[in-house]
Amino acid sequence: MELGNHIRKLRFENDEMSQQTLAEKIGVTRMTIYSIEKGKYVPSTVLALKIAQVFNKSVEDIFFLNKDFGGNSNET
Amino acid sequence: MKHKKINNSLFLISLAGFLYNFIGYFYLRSVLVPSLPKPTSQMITLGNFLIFSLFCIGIYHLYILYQILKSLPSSEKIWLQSAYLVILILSGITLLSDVTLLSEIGKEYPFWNVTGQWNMLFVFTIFHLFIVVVGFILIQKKPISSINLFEALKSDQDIWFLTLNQIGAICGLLGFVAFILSLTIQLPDRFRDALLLIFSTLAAIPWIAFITFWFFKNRKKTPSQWLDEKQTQDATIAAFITLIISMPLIMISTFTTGANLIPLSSSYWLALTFFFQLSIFSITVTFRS
Repeated sequence: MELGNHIRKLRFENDEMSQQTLAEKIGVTRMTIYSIEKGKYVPSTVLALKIAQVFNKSVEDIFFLNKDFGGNSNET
Repeated sequence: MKHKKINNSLFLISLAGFLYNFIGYFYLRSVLVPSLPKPTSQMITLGNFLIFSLFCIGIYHLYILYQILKSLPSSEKIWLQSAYLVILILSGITLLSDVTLLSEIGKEYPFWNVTGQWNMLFVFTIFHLFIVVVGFILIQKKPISSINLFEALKSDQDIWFLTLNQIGAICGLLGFVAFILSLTIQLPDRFRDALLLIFSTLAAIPWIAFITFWFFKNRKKTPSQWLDEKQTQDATIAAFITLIISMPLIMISTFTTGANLIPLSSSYWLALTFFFQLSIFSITVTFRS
């Protein structure tokens, strides 16, 4: 999967928020959060924006491309 | 603690019911002979208590069902629980068959040619006993980490979607068994069709019950709200795979039925296609989840 993310790290930085809590905040199931965190599922733009809103970050702060496709890869 | 006491009590009542039924069946089988004009009042009373005993066992089936749904394990073992749920529902339904069989023995076929019915009663009773014992153990050994399906229904947790598809997969495979059984059992064609209908219905009922409840629960939502985006993607991919894989089967059934190449009625093809598609779809969704 080409899309990486910092969701797990951000959850723990936000009072050890559980996957279930995050899922409820953005209106999806816990399994979807689990799949996104593991990189098994690429979320839609709307979902990515919702996740960013929960953590009060920009989408680029949370998601990054694992490979350089000529664009700006933001992996940290 | 309270539920353990209820579980123990219902289990003991059911065991007493099984014991009574076994003794009752053996006794009635030996005394109900063709030379007897009609059953004595003592036998009728005995028979009525057999029905009451089946009723008690049925209550315990419902209690097990409730308890299992209340504490589904949140681990890989959920597959076993889903399989058990399907078999438990089948066992509950076949309790009604026991009543029908007893009725046939006593009224419709008074003591003639009823060996098959007796044999089925004994097999079903052993099946119910097995289900009840396993259910008792499962309730006693509650999983450490469990999910209440009723709570999951309220909060839209993914466990419901997963369980539904696991049950779909198991029912689909059971349907295959039903299909093969109704083909292999030596019977006249019209009985064979009836047997296929009964077996197929039994295999499909657990899945139908779960999906009907799911639709009922979501009746006030728009279709786009039924699943979240990953579930929608999983279901879409599963539907596509199911369509591709089942195409050859549908083509074979269409051509062979038209050309009369394989002597199977359309109801057989319908059952085969339905259970095949249900299995492929449910297994794919479960695998992707």
